[in-house]
Amino acid sequence: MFPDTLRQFLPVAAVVILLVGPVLFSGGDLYFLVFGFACFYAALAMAWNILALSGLVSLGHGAFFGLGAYAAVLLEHNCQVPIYAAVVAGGLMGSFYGVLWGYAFQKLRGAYFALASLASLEIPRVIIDNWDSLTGGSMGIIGINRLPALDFGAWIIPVGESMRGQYYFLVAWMAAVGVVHYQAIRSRWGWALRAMRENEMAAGVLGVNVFGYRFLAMGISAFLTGVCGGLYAHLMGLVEPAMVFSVQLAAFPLILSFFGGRYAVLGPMLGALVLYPFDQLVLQPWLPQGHAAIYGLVIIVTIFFFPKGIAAWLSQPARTS
Amino acid sequence: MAEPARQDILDLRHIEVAVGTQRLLADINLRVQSQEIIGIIGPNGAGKTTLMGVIAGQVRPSRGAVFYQGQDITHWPPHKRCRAGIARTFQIPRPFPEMTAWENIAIGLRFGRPEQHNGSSRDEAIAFLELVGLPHKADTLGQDLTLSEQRRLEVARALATGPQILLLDEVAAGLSPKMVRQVVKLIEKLRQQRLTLLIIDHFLNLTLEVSDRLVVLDRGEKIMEGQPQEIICHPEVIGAYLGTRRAAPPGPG
Repeated sequence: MFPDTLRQFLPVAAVVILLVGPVLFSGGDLYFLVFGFACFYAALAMAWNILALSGLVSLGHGAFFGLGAYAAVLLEHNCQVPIYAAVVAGGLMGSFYGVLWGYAFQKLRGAYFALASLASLEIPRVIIDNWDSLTGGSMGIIGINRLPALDFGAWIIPVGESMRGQYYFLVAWMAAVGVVHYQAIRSRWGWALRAMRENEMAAGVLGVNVFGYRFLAMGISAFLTGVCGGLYAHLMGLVEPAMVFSVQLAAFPLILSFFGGRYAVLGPMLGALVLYPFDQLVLQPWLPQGHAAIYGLVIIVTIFFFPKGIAAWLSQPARTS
Repeated sequence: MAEPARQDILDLRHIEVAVGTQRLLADINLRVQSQEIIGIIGPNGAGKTTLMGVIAGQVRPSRGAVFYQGQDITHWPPHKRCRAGIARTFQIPRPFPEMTAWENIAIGLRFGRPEQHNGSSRDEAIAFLELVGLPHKADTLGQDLTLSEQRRLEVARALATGPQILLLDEVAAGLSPKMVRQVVKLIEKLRQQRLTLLIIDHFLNLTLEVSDRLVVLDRGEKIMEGQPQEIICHPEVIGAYLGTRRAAPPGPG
């Protein structure tokens, strides 16, 4: 669709815009906030997509997100675990639940897996909703500490203190998840995931350890989603069951990934960076009540008219070297 | 039959496959020597493909054991059997639809061999496409190949895993007579490469021509086993194929 030079130029341009762009918008904090969260949702979408690359579409990633959020907050409040360590522990909590899925749902595919994942989103929600003494029940937990500044000696990122610090932190987090997502497509593991999603039985016969590679994808996807949950709780300053264990939140990465292009390295990231700011900066001021309907519309239009997502416009038609 | 001078590569012992109340295979015993070519024949629904599934790991037997090179592999997953040297093709081809033909082969090269094999090149993959006469289709997507091309891709892909024993499920189905000749040539080539082969085919001629030994299945049971020429004239075999009332010796051609 685009000439070669332009295709190679676009990702570079995107990186430059991400790093420098918000500084130019002297409009200030709103832009840092929106583009920071766009990067956050890009990370969430890529984390979700790592499992989707194996051929399983999950509607229950909110479970990992919520467990990660609660584990991080409770460890920090009750056990005085340092915040970033608690966030990582939240990720581990998510991957623990993911490992359970990996065993329990190993025979489920397609719609059956999607339904099972949706159902297992409800289990931790109901438990946390009712375990008042530990989790505060449906009231949630408020007054969560902000993320502390990251000190790299010469470089200090004031993550929780300024919108700009938060923005650069989230760009870095997106880049980190992006590296894993890249591996899940381009590495040997990526080839295995691709083979099993295109024809699982053929993959097994050709020596691909279907269960093992998918289990790995499940664990990593759940871990990264759990870390996102822990970060989210600290970014928002509060956490409640209805907020983190929601179907909307579980479906969000799916919508962004479909829109951006599920099988492309840059797909989910592109989906988030285009769709979320468009929603927040253009649609919301114009249509404050119903702006979220755009996401439903987007998924329908995407599936009907460009099922490979907008990232396909950047690449050549269906050829890899 | 002569006593086995060569080692058994495959040994099926009392294999039974049951789904619900239906028995797909009942008490199948089969020993395959290394470098032997065995044809499995039988009417539709006899359990031929199920038997291949038992050997390659897609079907779990409800009773019995599968031994491969002296090891009990009954509970091995398919990928482990593949790396140990068991390869199969599918009756209904299962290409990776959105990969090109050479990428389809590359999956076998990368994952199917016992040693880790990372940078399998396009040229390496095309060498396998040449074996089945498809080098000009290297960059065609799996889904865009014709059915007979997909069948040949299946064979090339299975060979790319470097097998000791290859299970061919209806490779010649739907091929023109000319292409069937090519399949026979390919099988002869594989024989020279010392592969062990198990062949299922509706083209009795092909099976008769290449097989060292025939096994006849009917309704999940092994009813006969032996030299192709004696098997094919046996009344019980003719009965299984044509129904017992018409058990007359086959005419010429």
